[in-house]
Amino acid sequence: MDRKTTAPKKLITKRDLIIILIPAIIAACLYFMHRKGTRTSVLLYSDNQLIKELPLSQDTSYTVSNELGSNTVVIENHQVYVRDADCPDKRCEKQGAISKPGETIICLPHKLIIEVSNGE
Amino acid sequence: MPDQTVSVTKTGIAMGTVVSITSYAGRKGRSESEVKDDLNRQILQIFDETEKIDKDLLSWRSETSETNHFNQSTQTTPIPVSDELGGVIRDAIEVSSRSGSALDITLRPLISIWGIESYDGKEPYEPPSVDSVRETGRYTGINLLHLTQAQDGAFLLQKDRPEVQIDLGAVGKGYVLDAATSILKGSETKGAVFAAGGSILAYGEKDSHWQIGVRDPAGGPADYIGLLSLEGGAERTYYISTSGGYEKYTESNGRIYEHIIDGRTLYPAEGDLLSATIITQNSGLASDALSTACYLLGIEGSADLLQYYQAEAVFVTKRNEVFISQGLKGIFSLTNSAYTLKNME
Repeated sequence: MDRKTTAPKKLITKRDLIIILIPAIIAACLYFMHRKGTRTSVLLYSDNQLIKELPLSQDTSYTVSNELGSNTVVIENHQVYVRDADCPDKRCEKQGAISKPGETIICLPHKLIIEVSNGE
Repeated sequence: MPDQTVSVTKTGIAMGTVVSITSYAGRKGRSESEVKDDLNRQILQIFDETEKIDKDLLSWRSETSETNHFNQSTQTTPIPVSDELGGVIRDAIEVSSRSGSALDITLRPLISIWGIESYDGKEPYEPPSVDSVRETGRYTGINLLHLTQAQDGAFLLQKDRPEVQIDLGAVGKGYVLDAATSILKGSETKGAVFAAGGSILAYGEKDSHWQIGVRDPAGGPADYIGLLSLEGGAERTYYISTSGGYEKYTESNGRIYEHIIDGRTLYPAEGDLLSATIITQNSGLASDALSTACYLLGIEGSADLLQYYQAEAVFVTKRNEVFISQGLKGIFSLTNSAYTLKNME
């Protein structure tokens, strides 16, 4: 028999498949992680009512102001914190920045709750 | 394989404090979002009930509450009150008298002139004069308040002087835990932790144990001195309440004035405790009332009360000692080395 006769060549080998799929899987993972990251939002509740929802991915500042007082909520580098609150203790300012879903900053005298949420 | 457990956490503001609940339920064949909807609905129900109890029943600040109506009344003949308010007052009066009036639900006029709880920091704090305290003290004392029941069981509340006013701030949050328990029992919810200010309910089953932190009097709201590891169980309840001067105080001429007023002296607490944490299993109201009473009475003075109410306690002293009652051995663990653990006799 002619030693040079071989099985017909496959168009795509198993090795090719692995080389194609791995980056595709990585790309898909990064895409979904990015999407989840951009879905994370900051929820503002005043007297237990949701008054504003802001994306954590976009730097901004938002002031909540009513008859109880005023708090400026700042979103910066995927974190949120309170600046310029006119409550007596300023515990909300001293609390610093939060960024993980479920974390909250509370200004009790102003009945303000700031919560990081991933929509669940 | 254990049924998948779903949990929901919600934080809100009620009764002038932060309230938060985490509830757990098994899926039992339902979808995760169905279970979460059920849990969310129940949480809203508990928050609503909490607001209602505060605004309509217990809060002296609320214009529409039964308590406020009684306080505004100058009538010295018996006034009918609802079964719910009657029950709360009856239980609160019992703790008050068993505490020798250290806890006293008639101190509102006195708390008002001391102005510590309401102090807003805008002006320097000034304590009331000795004469002012003595004069206002004449309108306080549970001996001036009488709760009776008519033949049909209806409650009647009577004040001996028109100036008598009740303040249920020391028992309100505990009572709210009892109301939450009624909503949780018999429902699909397997377990829950409900925190209302310094009073916590640990309800039902937990895969290992409920881990409840005891607050560090010298630290912030998230700092603990130790953990209570409480074994869960079907519809089992633990009520954990803490009272301490660190919660609110003022200063004047180098002297500290704590917001907890001692009914025996008419002056702010001056004992050697930084905080008292009381754990009961059958009454949230009792755990809240006892935490104030025991904070004022001190470790030795609290022994009879703890025994009568079958309560356990964690006391933190001004010498940074942590005393735990017998029943907490193996349950409480100290996590802050700035304090020394001691067992109560």
